[in-house]
Amino acid sequence: MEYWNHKAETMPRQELENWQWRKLQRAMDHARAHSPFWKARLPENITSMEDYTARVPLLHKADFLAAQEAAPPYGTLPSLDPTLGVRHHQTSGTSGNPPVRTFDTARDWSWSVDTFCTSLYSMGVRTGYRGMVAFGYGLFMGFWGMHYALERMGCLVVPSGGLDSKTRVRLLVDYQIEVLGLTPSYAMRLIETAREMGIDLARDANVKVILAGAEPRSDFTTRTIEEAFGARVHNAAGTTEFGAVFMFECTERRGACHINEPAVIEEVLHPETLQPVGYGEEGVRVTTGLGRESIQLFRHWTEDIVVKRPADQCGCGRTWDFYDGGILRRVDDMRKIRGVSITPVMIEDVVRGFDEVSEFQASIRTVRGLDTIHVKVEPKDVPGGDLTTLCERIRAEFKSEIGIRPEVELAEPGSLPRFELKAKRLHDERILAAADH
Amino acid sequence: MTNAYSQQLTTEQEQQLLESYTGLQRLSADCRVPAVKAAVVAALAELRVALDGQAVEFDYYDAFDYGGRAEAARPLGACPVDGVAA
Repeated sequence: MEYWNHKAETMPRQELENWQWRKLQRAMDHARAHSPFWKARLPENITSMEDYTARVPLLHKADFLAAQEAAPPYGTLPSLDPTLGVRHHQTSGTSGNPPVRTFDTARDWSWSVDTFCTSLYSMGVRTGYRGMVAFGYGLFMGFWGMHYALERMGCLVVPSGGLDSKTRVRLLVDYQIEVLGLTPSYAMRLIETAREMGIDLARDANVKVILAGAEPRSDFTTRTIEEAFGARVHNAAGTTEFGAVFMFECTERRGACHINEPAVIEEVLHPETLQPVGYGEEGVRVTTGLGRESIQLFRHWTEDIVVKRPADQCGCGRTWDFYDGGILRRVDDMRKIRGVSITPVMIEDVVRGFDEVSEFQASIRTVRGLDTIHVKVEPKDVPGGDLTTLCERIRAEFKSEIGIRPEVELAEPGSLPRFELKAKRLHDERILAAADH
Repeated sequence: MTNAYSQQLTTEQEQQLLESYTGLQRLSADCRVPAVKAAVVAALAELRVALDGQAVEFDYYDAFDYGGRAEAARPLGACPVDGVAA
């Protein structure tokens, strides 16, 4: 087994935890000395990890945004003057909140890129590969780090910001790209575009490794992408607040998303009691960053639901624990319909099981006092497909898998939105209706 | 002593890495040639990650390698809040 950083990735657990503790202490010292926000929030004389989790309050998104808005653009959070920054990134702010804004120093960015290198190397990417990152290269941090990581690893990167899907498909084929970074939603879009162009990506392109991140995805979506490209899909995730990749899926065990533990301390807490949960139990991911010097993060409540498992349950040899299946969902993704809990991924899992569906949108509505799911599917012709019975078959599958029979309607080809980042396919119209009143 | 086939650094190599870093820190502090300074600052950022990745103990948050901008590292209390120094 080869590693990007053998020493860090295979360090014995006790040694690793001691190292994390030393790194946490110096991170807190830096924060207390330079950040007004953290000076007020981090008690002095924290004596152990247990003491740290007992005495440092959880940081919620509202806390982060309030500190930011106290003195825009970055507020009271930074531990360094923003004039030392060399990059600015921010989230889209589409949730109605102000965007999360961060900056990175040159040193932060080197650290961030290294977390991407660790991830890509574990997925099999090596010097000399040709890579393409299919995203907009805008304000969103997204896959910027992957571009720089490929450069650092000695790969040839074809930048594709601002290009349309047809051009990206052409580049994949013409340059025989071997590693591709994008969201699962956009991978589905490229598959559809290639099909329209008469290109069989598995035959005509040469993609070996796909890093599909930034969104939860269903197993069907993963399988569809892998079959269409003839390549392995790997999961990875980072956040703008943290500023780097915190987990990545190795090649050894499907779904084992190892936590980059020298870069981050990850607690998993029960969503209601806020007490730590054990290995194998669902809980909310709470992050402490160990590498960034500009905007630091201590005990950030992410709202990501995860299940952590011990490192030795994966055969890759890393001593870093892993999240089984990555981020399973967001705390606020769960919707109750007639007593049944539903998430966007559950819906995707059912709908993507039908080859005749190219895209879909779902909404939850109240009809005559009863909550229902309404699903619009955009059909496509496939050999052996039967569009006349498609709606009824989807209804039956929903009933069988989720326990609810939805309304299903066909949409005009090309009429539903496609996504490059942060796909949103489930809309709760009950919330909108309540807001209107 | 070489370590061409191991995936781990020898003690000597680790020492070389640390000496490279501290040597460049000194150069960064003294150098006034913008082109050289920029290269040194970039190199320091990269070496810092390498050192940290080997679990080497060093001053990870030192403020000396910003190419003359270390004075901008904000002392606590200098952050303006509502237009007034906090």
